[in-house]
Amino acid sequence: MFEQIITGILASLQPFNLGLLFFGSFLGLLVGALPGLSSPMAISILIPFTYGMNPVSALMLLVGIYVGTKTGGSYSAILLRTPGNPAAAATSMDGYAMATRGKASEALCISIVASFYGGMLSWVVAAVLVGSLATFALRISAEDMAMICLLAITLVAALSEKDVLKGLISAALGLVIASVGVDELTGDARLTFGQYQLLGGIPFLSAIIGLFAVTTVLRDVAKPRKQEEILDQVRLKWRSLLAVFKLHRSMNVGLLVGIWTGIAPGVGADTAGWLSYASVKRHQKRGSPDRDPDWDLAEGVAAPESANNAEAGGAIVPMLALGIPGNGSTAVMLGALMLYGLQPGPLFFQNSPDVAYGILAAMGMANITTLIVAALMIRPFVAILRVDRSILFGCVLALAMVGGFAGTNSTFDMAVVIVFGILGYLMESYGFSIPALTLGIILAPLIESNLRRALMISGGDPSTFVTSPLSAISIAVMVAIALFHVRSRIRDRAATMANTPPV
Amino acid sequence: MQKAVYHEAATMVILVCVAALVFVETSGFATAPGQISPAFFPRLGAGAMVALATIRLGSLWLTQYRPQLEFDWSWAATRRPATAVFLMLGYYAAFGILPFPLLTFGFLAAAFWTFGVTPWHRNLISAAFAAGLFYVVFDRVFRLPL
Repeated sequence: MFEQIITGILASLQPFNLGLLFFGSFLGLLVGALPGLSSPMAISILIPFTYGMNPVSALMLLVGIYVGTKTGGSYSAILLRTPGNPAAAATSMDGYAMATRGKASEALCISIVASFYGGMLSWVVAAVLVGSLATFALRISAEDMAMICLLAITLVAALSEKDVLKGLISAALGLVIASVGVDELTGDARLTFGQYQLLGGIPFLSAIIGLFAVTTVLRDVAKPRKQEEILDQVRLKWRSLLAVFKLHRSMNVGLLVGIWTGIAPGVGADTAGWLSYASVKRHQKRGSPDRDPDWDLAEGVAAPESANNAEAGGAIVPMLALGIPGNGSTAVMLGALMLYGLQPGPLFFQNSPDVAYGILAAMGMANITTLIVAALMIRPFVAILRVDRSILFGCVLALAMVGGFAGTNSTFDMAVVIVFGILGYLMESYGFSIPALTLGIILAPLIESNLRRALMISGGDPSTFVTSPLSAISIAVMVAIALFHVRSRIRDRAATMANTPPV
Repeated sequence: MQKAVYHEAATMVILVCVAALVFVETSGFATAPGQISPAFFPRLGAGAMVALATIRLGSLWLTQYRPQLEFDWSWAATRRPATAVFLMLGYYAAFGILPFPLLTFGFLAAAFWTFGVTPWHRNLISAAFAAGLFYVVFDRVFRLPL
């Protein structure tokens, strides 16, 4: 395994791949810095343009974007108090406070180094864990795999959204949408309504572009934001970059929180950021009253930034080893791998070791390239934050349309982008979950094939799902989540009734 | 608050109708003995939708659950997203008929105006610059058949 990781690293050092990593990091930082743009959006729009590339090279670009957005979100969080992405929300608390005290440069340097620290160390952990998990996953039976995938969907629905029921409905809708097309076992056309363009299924890439890119723009243009003043005089301070390592304790808190939240599907980098921020603040409250306020603010930036980059490393583990994405960006990357004809999962490291270890190596290298680009381009990125968001949104819509067309050179895919954009906008407006829907679409083929296999092996006996230990545990956790949700609902209702004055 | 209840109920009813459509569309598959029907999986998803939507409808009625979210359908709230959708539909309809640079320029200029880019000359210059960039990148570099 070690030799293969080295091979992956050497592949990423080839000039073309290294160039793609740097370019991806640059794009990721840009996308992360600009509020309203997101990593899944950028990745989904760029996928069609990577079709002509070798899968390893294409993934270099996409992984670079993924890692870059984690760091980039802190720019607008610190300078504008507007996180570039949800993962940087916790950073905006103390980051903006530092900026108002004239320490914007120091805050940015802390975020850059803490991001590198969390991302790099979580990559080491991921590299160790992923091989063991993939080996273990080979022993997972069909019924176990089906239930684990359903559990992943349930976790995403339950943990990431306020309304669990709507999250589950979104996931169920995703399962139905993924059923459109020709059944791979029997060859029957399902839910095509006589449309030949749907025989191959709903174009996955166009659906993702619609759900992430178009939905985000439609949602954000509905409520125009006033662009706030940007603080000038921001520049790279080399001494600050090196001094950040004194904050290793808070960065380690972020690292630990981030790795575990990344591995658990659905928890997300924003949760990782807030958990680590809260942990650091709780520790500060218990400390002496003579604490240095600037040091406390610095810790409040270092911990969440380390956490949200560590989450990226953690999320790669289930994606590569099990074929189950941990967050929206890995869901889109998983979709990209499927479009390239690859299937992440237990056999991925055996069947496509060059791609699997290439992705793993790219994650590590992307942290280094992001550190370099972020450090050198602080001032240009700050200048880019002045670009009118309305112009960005218009360009994103045009990119989405062209990106949808570029997938198969078909205007039908463009129509799919529009339809899913509208669907995503309405779903979000009514409190449904786009990540759960996306996960349902992505995992549906895996769930269906494993369910069918399990039932065929057992001769149609559904008790196979409770006799297998992993499957039974997954079902038990899903039931526990459902009961917990019901209990919370009953409690909330009792509290509401108690607070309502009698008539 | 009452409007939110009606919206919630209507949404759940629509989902039940979609699920019913799935059940109808997936009837009539011939299945060999020992094989799982192609209708099994879509019906599993549709069945889950019906069950969950029914639970929500039940909670609206029986436990007086009151949703917090309410979509504002007024023109003031939906003007920009609706206009953006119409612009995209127009782009889709005219794609392949109008030359790509001209079509993209028109789309971007209209989108920028909708989203609030002012004054008009800044709008047009930005649209022209962006359309030119799109043309160079997608037509010349990526060689898409635009």
